[in-house]
Amino acid sequence: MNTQNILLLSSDKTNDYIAIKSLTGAKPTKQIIKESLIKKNNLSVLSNGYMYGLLPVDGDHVVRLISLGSLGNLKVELKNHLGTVILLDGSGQQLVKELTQLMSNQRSKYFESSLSIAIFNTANKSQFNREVVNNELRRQKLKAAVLDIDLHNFKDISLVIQSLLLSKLYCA
Amino acid sequence: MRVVYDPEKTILNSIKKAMERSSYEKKLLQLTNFDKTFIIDPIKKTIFTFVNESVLRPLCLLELREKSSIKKLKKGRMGTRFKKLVENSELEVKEWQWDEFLWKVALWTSRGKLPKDIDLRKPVYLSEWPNLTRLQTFPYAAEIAAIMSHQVVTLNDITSQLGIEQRFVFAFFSAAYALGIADSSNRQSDQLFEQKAKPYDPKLNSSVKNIINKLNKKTETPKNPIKEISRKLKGSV
Repeated sequence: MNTQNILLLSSDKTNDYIAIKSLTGAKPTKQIIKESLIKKNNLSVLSNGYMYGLLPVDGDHVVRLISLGSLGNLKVELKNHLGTVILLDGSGQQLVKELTQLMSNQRSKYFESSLSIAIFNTANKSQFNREVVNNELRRQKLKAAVLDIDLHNFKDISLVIQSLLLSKLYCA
Repeated sequence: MRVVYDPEKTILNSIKKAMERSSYEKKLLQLTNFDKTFIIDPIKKTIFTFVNESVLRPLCLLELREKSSIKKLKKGRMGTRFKKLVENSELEVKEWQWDEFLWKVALWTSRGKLPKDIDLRKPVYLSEWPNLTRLQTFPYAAEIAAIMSHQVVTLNDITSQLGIEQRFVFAFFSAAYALGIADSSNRQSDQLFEQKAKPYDPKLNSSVKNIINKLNKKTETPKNPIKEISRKLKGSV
């Protein structure tokens, strides 16, 4: 079975839960991390397990959407990692702070190949939110699609995942 | 066939200029072109239209010869003029986000053509992804965005890399150009060291395309399931 992984990060795991459910149509399940998932044998930080959802592609190909919430100091290195999606709450006052905190907790490696940022609860702050996030990405010399989403909308989450995959495919 | 258009003489340009002025002056402006009114709000970054899209769309193709009429709306949204125009209007009033509106009007204006000042030989860039979840979508928009944001390539390179008709690439560029997030690169270094596509990875390519196809299939739900089933049954007979 060919299993590829997409990592979801957010300050509240509930958001990951909703996004995974919207995309896969099923409730995510929780699992204690297995060594088969990671490259290096360092399981301590994930001993509480992780939540994931599966997107079957064809008979022997599946994409696993892994939610780590905002787990700090993640030292594991995922196998078959396609990219990372960061979910940001657009109603918050400190969007950039939330973004930098989520990113600084993780290995920068997770953002180098492919990264997409999805902002929910944007209401009428959409343009402002996207501007501050794009500016922060430029400051960090990172390239990522920054898209407004409704966490419950399949089409929105699907487009976020597609932007992630296409960035992985076409990054120079 | 001409593949370029002159954005200077379009209603798109007039609206963009009015938005810039409105932002600069921080005042609500009333713009009139072709006897059609637009109200531009620089604080909320929205624009009001008073006609149906079917009326607006053909206007985008007309050459704008008249001078645009611009008036400031005193007291902004609280003023009587605004209330008369928007709240008490008998016309079809719609409030759009600037980006959403500019993107759409640029697509209608471009119709797969390119702004005339863009040099096809120069590489192009995308400074940030357009908010594709909230903009009018069309085929290959996400693919073009991904290439333009990660590679320094010409528009022709994108067309051949994706193996698609150039009108999709030109339309995307025109719309992103209208939003101010795409342009041709004037940096010498970009032209000297053009970043071509990374080496083709067949395994990644096929895997990513399979996932995207799967997602797109899930998106395509029939609008009217009963009608769709009847259509399929008819087709199978």
